Amino acid sequence: MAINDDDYYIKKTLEGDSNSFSVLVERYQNMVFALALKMLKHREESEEVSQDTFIKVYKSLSKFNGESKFSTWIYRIAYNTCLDRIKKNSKYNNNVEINEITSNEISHTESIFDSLENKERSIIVKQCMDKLPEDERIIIHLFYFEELNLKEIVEIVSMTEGNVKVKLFRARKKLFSIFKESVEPEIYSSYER
Amino acid sequence: MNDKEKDLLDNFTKRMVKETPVEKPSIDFSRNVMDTINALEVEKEKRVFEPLISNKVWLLISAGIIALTVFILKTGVNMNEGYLSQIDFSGYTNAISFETSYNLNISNTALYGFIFLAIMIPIQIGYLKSYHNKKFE
Repeated sequence: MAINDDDYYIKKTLEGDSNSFSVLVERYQNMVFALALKMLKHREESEEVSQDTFIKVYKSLSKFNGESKFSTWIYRIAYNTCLDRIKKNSKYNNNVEINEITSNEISHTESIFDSLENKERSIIVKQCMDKLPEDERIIIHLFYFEELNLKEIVEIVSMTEGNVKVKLFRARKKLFSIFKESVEPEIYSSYER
Repeated sequence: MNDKEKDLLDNFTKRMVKETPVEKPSIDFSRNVMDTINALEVEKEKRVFEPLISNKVWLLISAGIIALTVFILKTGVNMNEGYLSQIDFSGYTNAISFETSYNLNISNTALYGFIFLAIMIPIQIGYLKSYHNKKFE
């Protein structure tokens, strides 16, 4: 079934069939949870916030006017719910220094990246992502992992396109710097070889 | 940073991010959400109350008032001939009359204003009630 049949389940839910909503929950739970986890970095809290997101979606389903994609609308609600939680906790502050990056450095770091075992690579990248400031981490996740376009990201995070572009550019450099730093011993040893 | 470096970094970032594992919530996540939603629905149903005066009773009252009005207009009942005319209300009305108590003269315009205000109050109550009902839904 096409994703566009979201409309069908939305309509059924609005008509009072609350069980139809479970199809939408099943469909978007991973996406919402992944976004919450990227923002909050805590599994239990992310699950709680994801649940809150779906309850909010259910309560305000009648306000969804179809102007944007349903997934974008859910993302926006999830993003704002996470932001509220972050504001409440105010413990997620990251500052990463950005250095100039050369193509040589990128090639070297990429070869180290390739030499890592799949599992190890995945763990390191996840740790590096977690070190990014939360707004940049989300933009990177939405752009590269969920493969959303700039217009959709702009709608979700309520920033200007220029602002998103700047953050995306900065986030790429920061992520690279963090990754390079975390695999630095390997880089030095590769130079020695 | 030149364009070549930007492209390299873009590709490498894509590779890195794609490397992050797909995160999934717990198995009973969907069930938990639906349980909460069903509980909300039950709560909502509980809150739906029956009005004290049902629509049927309102219809009967309206029909009664209309029938009485029509009856009075048709038969032309003169209030002076009724039982009420035999009771002397002047003691009560004089006591609460503004004119006698405070020596006030109320013009017809002011009187119509007060009547209009009195009509507006019940209308506003109805409007505010529906507004708050919608707000708390």
